[in-house]
Amino acid sequence: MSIVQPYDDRFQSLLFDESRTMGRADFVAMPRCEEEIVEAVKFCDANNVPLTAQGARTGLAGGASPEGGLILNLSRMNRILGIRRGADGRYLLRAQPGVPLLAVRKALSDKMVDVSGWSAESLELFASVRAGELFFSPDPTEPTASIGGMASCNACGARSFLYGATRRHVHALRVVLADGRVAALERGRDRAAGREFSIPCADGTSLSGKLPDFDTPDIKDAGYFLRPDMDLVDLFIGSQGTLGIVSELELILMPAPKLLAGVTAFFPSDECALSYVAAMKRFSPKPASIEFFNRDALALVEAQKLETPAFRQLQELPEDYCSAAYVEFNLGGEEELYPALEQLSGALAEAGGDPENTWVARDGLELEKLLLFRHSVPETIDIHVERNKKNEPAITILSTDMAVPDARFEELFWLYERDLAESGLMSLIFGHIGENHVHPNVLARNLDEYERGHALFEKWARAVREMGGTITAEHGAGKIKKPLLLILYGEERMRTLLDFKRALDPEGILGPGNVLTEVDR
Amino acid sequence: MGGIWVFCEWSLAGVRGVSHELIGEAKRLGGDATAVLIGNDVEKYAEELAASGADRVLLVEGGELDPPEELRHAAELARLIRKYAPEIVLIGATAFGRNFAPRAAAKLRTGLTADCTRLDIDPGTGLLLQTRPAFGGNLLATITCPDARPQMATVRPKVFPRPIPDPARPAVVVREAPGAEASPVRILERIEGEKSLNIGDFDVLVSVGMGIGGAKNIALAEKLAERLNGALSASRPVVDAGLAPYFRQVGQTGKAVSPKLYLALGISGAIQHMAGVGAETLVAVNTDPDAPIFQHADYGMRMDCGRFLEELLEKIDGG
Amino acid sequence: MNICVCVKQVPSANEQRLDPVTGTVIREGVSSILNPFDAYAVEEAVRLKAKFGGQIAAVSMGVPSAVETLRRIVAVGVDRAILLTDRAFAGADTLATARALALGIQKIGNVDLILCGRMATDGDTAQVGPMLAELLGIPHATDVSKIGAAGPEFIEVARMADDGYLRARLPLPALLTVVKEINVPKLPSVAGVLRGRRAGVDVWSASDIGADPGEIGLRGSRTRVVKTARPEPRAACRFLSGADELLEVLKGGGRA
Repeated sequence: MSIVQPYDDRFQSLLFDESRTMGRADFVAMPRCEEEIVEAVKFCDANNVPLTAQGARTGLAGGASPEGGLILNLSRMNRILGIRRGADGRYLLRAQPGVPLLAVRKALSDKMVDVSGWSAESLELFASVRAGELFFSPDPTEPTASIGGMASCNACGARSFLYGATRRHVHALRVVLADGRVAALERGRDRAAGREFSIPCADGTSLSGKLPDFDTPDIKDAGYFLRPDMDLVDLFIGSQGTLGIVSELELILMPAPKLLAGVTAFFPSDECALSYVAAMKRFSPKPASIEFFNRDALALVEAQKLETPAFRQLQELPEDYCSAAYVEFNLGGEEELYPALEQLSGALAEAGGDPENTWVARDGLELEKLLLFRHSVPETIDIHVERNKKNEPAITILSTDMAVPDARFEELFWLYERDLAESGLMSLIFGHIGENHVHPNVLARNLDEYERGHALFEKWARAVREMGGTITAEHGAGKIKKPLLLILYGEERMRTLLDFKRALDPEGILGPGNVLTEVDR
Repeated sequence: MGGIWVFCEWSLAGVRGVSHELIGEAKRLGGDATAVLIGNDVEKYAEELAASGADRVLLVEGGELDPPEELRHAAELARLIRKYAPEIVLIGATAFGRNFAPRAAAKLRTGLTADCTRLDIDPGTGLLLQTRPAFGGNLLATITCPDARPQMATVRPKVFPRPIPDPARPAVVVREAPGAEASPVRILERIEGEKSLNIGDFDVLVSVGMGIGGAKNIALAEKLAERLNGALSASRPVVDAGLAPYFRQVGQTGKAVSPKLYLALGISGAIQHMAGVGAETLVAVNTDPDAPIFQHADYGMRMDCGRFLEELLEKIDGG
Repeated sequence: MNICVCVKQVPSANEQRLDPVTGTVIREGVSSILNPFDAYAVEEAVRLKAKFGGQIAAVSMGVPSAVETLRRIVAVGVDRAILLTDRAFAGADTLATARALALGIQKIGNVDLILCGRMATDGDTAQVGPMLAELLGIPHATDVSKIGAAGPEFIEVARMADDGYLRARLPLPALLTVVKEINVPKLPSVAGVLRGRRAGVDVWSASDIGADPGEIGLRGSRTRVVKTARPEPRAACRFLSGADELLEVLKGGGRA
C-alpha cells in the first residue's frame, strides 16, 4: 500500500502550525522510516507535487503549513535509536526526526526510553550513564517540538544565550534530497571545499554545486547558513525543509548543570529593567538566559487567569507591577547559588529594583513555576489569536524576532515601544533579551489592524537592516516573515539564493513558500 | 457481635454504593457482617443493607446525627466499637470516610490502612491482609494490624463489585441510642457542586478527538460518559473547533487528568494531548491502526467511533 | 493567631524508576523536597499571619537532612522551624507519626491553629491530620479550600465534601488540612532566600518532647507492612473486536 494518501478532513489539524497560518493540501504521507520518506519524495518528484515537511507543527512562522501538494508528517518517526561517543568524547544521541524534545529530555533525565532494537554498544554506553548526567541544551519555548523541526528551523530558546542555537548541537544527519537520494553527513567529515560542495549520497553518486558568492549574516538565523568550507550538515539546518528532508539526526549532549535556579525581578519602569538587563549580560556566573516582559505582557496573562483555569496556578503578580526581567542560572551546586544571589541583590538595587520584589526558584522543581509563567505569555497570545481568527480568518500571530548588535539594542527597543504606543494597537513585548531578541507582538482584532501590524514590522525590518541586524532571529522565515528576509537580502541576493535552491531542488518541490520569495529577473 | 463491621454512609440520596460493595466484600471474606448505620430516619435502609448480605444492621438514630458530621460520627462509632469489639471495620473512602476514619482509629489507638485495593484473610494468622498501592502505584504493599483491634481499612468506591441484592434476606436490626458528645464543629451551609464540572474529579472520562466523527457522535459520547458515571472530555482541536467547551479540554494546555478509565475516541495520541493524561486504564478507539494513541493504550479497537458508541450504548442500556 | 504548620520531606520522584538496560532501581536524581501539598499549608499560614498577626512555626518529623527543607520554608516567611529527629521515630505509621507531632506541638505550646497539607505524596493516606487532631483533642476539618472569617476563638472554612462544598465553623484551637485550590504558594524573594540561609532550625529528639518509646516509631505503630510486590507490568495494547468484548474486559477488571 502506498505511503501517500489523498488528503481528507480528518487531517485538518495538519494544515497549520502554531502560528495558525491556514494552509491547504492534496496528499498526506506519514512515514515510519526513511524508506517511506524516500517513497513519498519520489512520488512528488515524479508527479511535480510540492512537499511540505512537518514535525510537531509547533513552529511560529508558518513553515510547516502546506501550500498545496503533499504534507509529509514525520511525527510517526519518533524513536530514539542509540547513543555513542564521538571522537572528542562527547556523547551523541541518534534519533528520528519526529522525536519530541520532551522525549529526549525524559530519556536523559529519567532514563525513560524504549531501547528495543538498540545495538549492544548503545545499551552498554547508556547503562554507564547516570540519570540526569547529560542534557540536550536547546530549549525552544514549546517542549513538544520535534527535533527534526528544531534542526529545520535552527530553533533556539532562552538558554541559547549561554549554549547557542540548535545548529551547535547537531553533529550529523541523514537527509533525503529532492530526487529521493539519501545522504549521510557528519560535521567535520563532510565539508565544502571553498565554495564548491559535493554531497555524497548513499547510492554512490553525489550532488555537487557551488555556494553563493556571499556569506549569509552571522547572527542567528538568516534563512540559509552559507560559508566557504562549511560543514555540509549546516546546509540543511535552518533551511526549513527547502533543501532536503532530514530523516535522522545525531544530537550532541552536554554534562547537565547540577543546579538550575531562576530569579524574576519586577521593576518600576522599562528603563530600570533595561539597566538591570545590561548588568546581567556582564554578570558572573554568566546566566543561562535573560528574559524580559513588558507591562502589557504581564497584564495580558493576568487578565487571562479569569478564563483559563490552568493559569490560576501561576504566581500572583505584585500589586503595582510594571516590567519584569527573568534570569536563569545553570550552576554546579547550591554553594554557588547564595553568592550569586548576594551579588544579584546589589545589581537589583542599583538598577532601581528591590530584592524583596522578586521570585526565586532554588531548584528545578521551583523553576518549573517560573518556566510556566514564562510560557504563559506565548500561550496567551495563542488564545487571543485563535479568538480573533474566528472573526477574521486571515489573522495569524503577528510576532517578530529581530535582533541587532548590542550597541543598537536599546535604540531598537524604544523604537518598538514608541511605534506601538502611537499605533493604538493591542500589543506586548517579551523575549530573550539576553540576545537582544525581544518579540513585539501585535494582537490584531481585525484585518485593518493586522495590516497595520504588518506595516509596522516592515518598517522595523528596514530599521534593523540599517542597524546591521537580522530579521528572523529565531523563529525562522517560514512564510510569514519571508518579506522580511527579502528586505534583509535585497532582490539581487535573493535571486542568487533562488538559483542555489534550484541546484538542490530542480523541480522546486521542497518547502513551497518557505524562506525564499520569487523575484523577477 | 464481633466479626466484620461495615460503616454505611448515607446522604439525602440514600446509602452510598460503596457501603453495599463493602458488605459484599465482608461476606466474601467469610465473616459475619454487621452494617453500621448512624443517622436520622435511616431505619428504612436496613432492608437494602440486609439484601446486600448484612447479617444484622446496627442502628443509631437521632435528630442530632443529621446531617452526618465527621467528629460526631467518629465518636459514636468508637463508642460502639468499644462496646462490641468487632475484629474488622471497613469504611468507604469517600471524602467523609477518609476524614472520619482516621479520627476514629486514633481514638481507639488502632491501625488504619487507607485506600485498599484488595483484602484477604491470612489463612495462618487469621489477620486481615490489606493491600494498597505505594510509590505512586509502582508497588503494592500488603499491611496488617497484628495486635490492636479493630483492624480498620478504608476502600474506595468501585473497587469491589456491588452484590446482587437478595430481598429474601431478613433485616435484623439492633438498636443503640446515640451517646457521644456533640461535635464542636458547626456546619453552616452546604453548597451543591457547580455546573461547570472539573473533569479532573472523574474516575471515568470519555474523551473525543477530531476523529470522533462530528457533533452527533460527541453527543453519544456524552451519553456514554453519563452511563459510566464519568464525564466528557475533549482534545484541543475539538475545543478549538468549537465542538466542546474549554473546561473539557485535556492536554498540555487544558487539564491534566488521572482517571481510572480513559476512553480515547478518535484521538490520535499526539504528545501535547498525552502529556495531560495519566490513566490507570486507557482504551483507544480509532480508525487509523497506526495512530500513536495505541502505543499508550491498554486496550484498542480499530473501528469507527460512531459505530463503537452505538454498540456500547446498546449493550449498556439493553443488557 | 499562632500557627503551626506540619510539613514532610518526601522523595522528589514518586516512581521507582528502573534503568531500562540494567533493570536496577535508579537512585540518582531522586532528591528530597517539601511535600507539594504542604507548600499550600505554609502559604496559607503566611497569609493568615499577614492578616491576623502572630507567629508561625513549622514542624517536621524526619531524617536529619530534612533541616534543609525546613530552612527553605523560613525563606517564605515562617518564623521558627523545628525538626523532630531521632532513630526512635523511624518506621512510624500514621498513628505513631501523629503521636510524635502531637508531642512536638505541645512542646511548642500556645498554638491556635495547626495547618497540614491534605496528604503526603509518598504515603498518600491523608490520615495524619485527623489523627493528630484527635490526639491533641481538638476539632479538625479536612480538604479546606478557603479560610473565611476568623477571630481569637473561632475559624470559618469552606471545605470540599462528597457532593459539593461545606462551610463550617470550628472553635480554636483547631487543625485544618488544605487542598491545592486554597492558594498559589509564593516563591521566596531574593531577600527571603538570603535570610533563610542564615536561619536556625531547632532539632528535638524523642526525649526532648517527652515521648513514650512505646508510642512512637516502629514500636508505636499499629500497622505493619508484611509484603511489597510489583504489580503486573503494563502490557502492550490488546486489540479487542468490539464493544462486547470491551465490556467483558472492563467488568472483569472490576472497573465498569
